[in-house]
Amino acid sequence: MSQQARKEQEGVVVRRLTVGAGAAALGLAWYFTASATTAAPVAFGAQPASDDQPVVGIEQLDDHVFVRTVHVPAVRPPAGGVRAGATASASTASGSTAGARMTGGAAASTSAAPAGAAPAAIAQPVPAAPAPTPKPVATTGGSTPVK
Amino acid sequence: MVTGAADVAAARRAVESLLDEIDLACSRFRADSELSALNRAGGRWTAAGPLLLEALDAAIWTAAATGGAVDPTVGRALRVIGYDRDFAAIEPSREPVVRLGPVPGWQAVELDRRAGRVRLAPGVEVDLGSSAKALAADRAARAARTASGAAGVLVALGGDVAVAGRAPAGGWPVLVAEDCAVPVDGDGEVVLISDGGVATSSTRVRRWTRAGVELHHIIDPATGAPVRGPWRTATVAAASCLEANAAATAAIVKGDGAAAWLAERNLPARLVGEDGCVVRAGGWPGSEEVSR
Repeated sequence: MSQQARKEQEGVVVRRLTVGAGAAALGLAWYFTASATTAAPVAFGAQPASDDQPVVGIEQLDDHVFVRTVHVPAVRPPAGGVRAGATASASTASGSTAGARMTGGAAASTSAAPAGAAPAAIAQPVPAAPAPTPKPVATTGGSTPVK
Repeated sequence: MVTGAADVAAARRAVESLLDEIDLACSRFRADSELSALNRAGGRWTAAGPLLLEALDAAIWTAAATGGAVDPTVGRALRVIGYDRDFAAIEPSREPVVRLGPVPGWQAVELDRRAGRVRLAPGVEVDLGSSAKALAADRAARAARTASGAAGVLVALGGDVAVAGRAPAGGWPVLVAEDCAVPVDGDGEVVLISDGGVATSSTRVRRWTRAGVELHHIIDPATGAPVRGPWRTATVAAASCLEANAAATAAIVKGDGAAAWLAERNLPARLVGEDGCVVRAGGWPGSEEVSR
């Protein structure tokens, strides 16, 4: 690929600097010193979006160094966020995830009314029962390779 | 884990098949993997299949998006400190600990997608451990849902959790622990997620000793040595498991700046300090609380 074609493909070459002085001007002399011998072009191929993060990359071509800004998508939060479940323990982890029939590694138990519980004879206001605590179906933790 | 009427066996086959493919493409510990061939290539162009190219793309994105905190060119640093074989096979050693200094950086990886080939700068070795498993979890969740016809799917691969499709009412309950080996009915904080993924990075697992020095697998690219910082475990939820894992590992590496970095990106996160102090940030339930 020609030098010009590479520029066009990657789209956002922002500066062309000679070795040394230019890099130093951008405070990148340390970076260049560390990586000039290994710097290589990396194309992300995506057009920058409004929330993309600019990242400085360095490309060495012949006797010139190109300092360019590439845009990569930022790490995105989950659309649905994270909600609290109850703190689990062996004695409190029973319950169900409403509306789900789960099949897989760990079985989720379904809570049921205690045996022998008497039905209420007369409708009376009662405190709202706390929502059932869903039983975890997976653990996230530091990874230990499967042995 | 699937919800609704679904062909569970088909889901399992889809996941297992994908994991086999990922292992063959991306394992640093298999002599016959594409990654091992690339690491042996000594600066020459090496053919790469679509899966390795995708994994390298993901690793480079991870490096760029984390400001270089999580970098795939830590392969040689990991090897020289003793993580040179499957973790289960590592034995305590009296060999001295060798440290290399800063890792070369993701700019040393050159991808030629059109020709399906990759080149590393001479002497550079790539490790995809910080991104390939999370990428696999994302892909496996989607593959399992497609194969099984399930309404929703959750896949957990060694602590990396990815979901696809419709979550159960209330969300998928996930136990947060420092070690993924903790059973789902163990003690701990439970959170509910409905999309994306959640991942944990920890210096408490995958530890070994060499010349009496205790080491772990999370390398700080700036030093080429295992991270020494204020956080021992970080759990992050994000729009995908890949992103969650990138942010969790970055938090360990970034140290004191991690909570602010996560909060700026609205990433729900739970950090556990070396002293056991728990800090929640970015919308994690109980954010702004500090507990022990």
